[in-house]
Amino acid sequence: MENSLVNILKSQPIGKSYSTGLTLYQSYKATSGFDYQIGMREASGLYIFEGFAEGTGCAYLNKILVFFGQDKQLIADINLPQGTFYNRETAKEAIKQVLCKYFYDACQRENMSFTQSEVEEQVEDILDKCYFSESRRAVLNWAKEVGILKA
Amino acid sequence: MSQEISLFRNFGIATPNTITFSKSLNALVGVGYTSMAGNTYFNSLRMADGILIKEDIGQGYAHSFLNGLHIYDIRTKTLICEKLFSCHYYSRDTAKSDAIDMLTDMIGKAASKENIILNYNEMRSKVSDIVRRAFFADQMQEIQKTLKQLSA
Repeated sequence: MENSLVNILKSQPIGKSYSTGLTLYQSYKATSGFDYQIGMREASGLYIFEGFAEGTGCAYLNKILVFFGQDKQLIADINLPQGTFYNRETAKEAIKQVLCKYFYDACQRENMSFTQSEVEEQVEDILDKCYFSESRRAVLNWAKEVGILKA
Repeated sequence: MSQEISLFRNFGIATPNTITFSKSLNALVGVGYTSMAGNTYFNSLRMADGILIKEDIGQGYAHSFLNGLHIYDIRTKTLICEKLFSCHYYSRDTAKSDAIDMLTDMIGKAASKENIILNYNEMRSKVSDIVRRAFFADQMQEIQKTLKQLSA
């Protein structure tokens, strides 16, 4: 996936994955029938690339790369265990655990103090917004349209 | 059927030859995949009032299982919520209950984030009506209704 990323970072999106909400940059249909895809989400300067394989009735999450800033510096490289089903919550939790761990390690090396719960809460907020804000917006608009919520 | 196909193609989940209507399921059904173990995996699609519910179903020798549920907003083509299941026997009633729980949970969380006050029981009752229609009302009529609304 890393070699593809050199090209992806320079390329334009090719579409959107509606089943994951990712902006797609690469897609390959294997002879097995699985669609291997690389998509991206962005939030607060974080660029999250997810590699996943979509089949009939299931999707597997293979790898996540997290970059930061316009220079796209690699922060985290997460390999998921084989057979991890794709689920936004799973991806979000994997990134949250790794980002928090790297942050704690960096702070300890630099002798910087931090409150663990505050760090987790802020990382959770950023990732939650990245993964679910569009869904929440859509469901509230739908709920208002059909009269579930008052407009 | 071609209009219905193009509707689903917009979601990236249908090509012309991959979707048919199943009277017994009362749903549009995708092409299945049969594994070496003999289990068949397929998607079924239902809609009502602007939402599309996709069920990931695995059919075994003795039982059918619900492996996943995805609910989309049709107008914006946005994934609203999804849930994966393991060893979850499939029935229309349980899938309907799961979909209601997922939607009400999502609406509740979204409303809470936006500081919107809502009557939970009233909201759940309205969501239940809509989801019940997706599972038990004539799906071909619901699809026609959705296409009319989208082209309006």
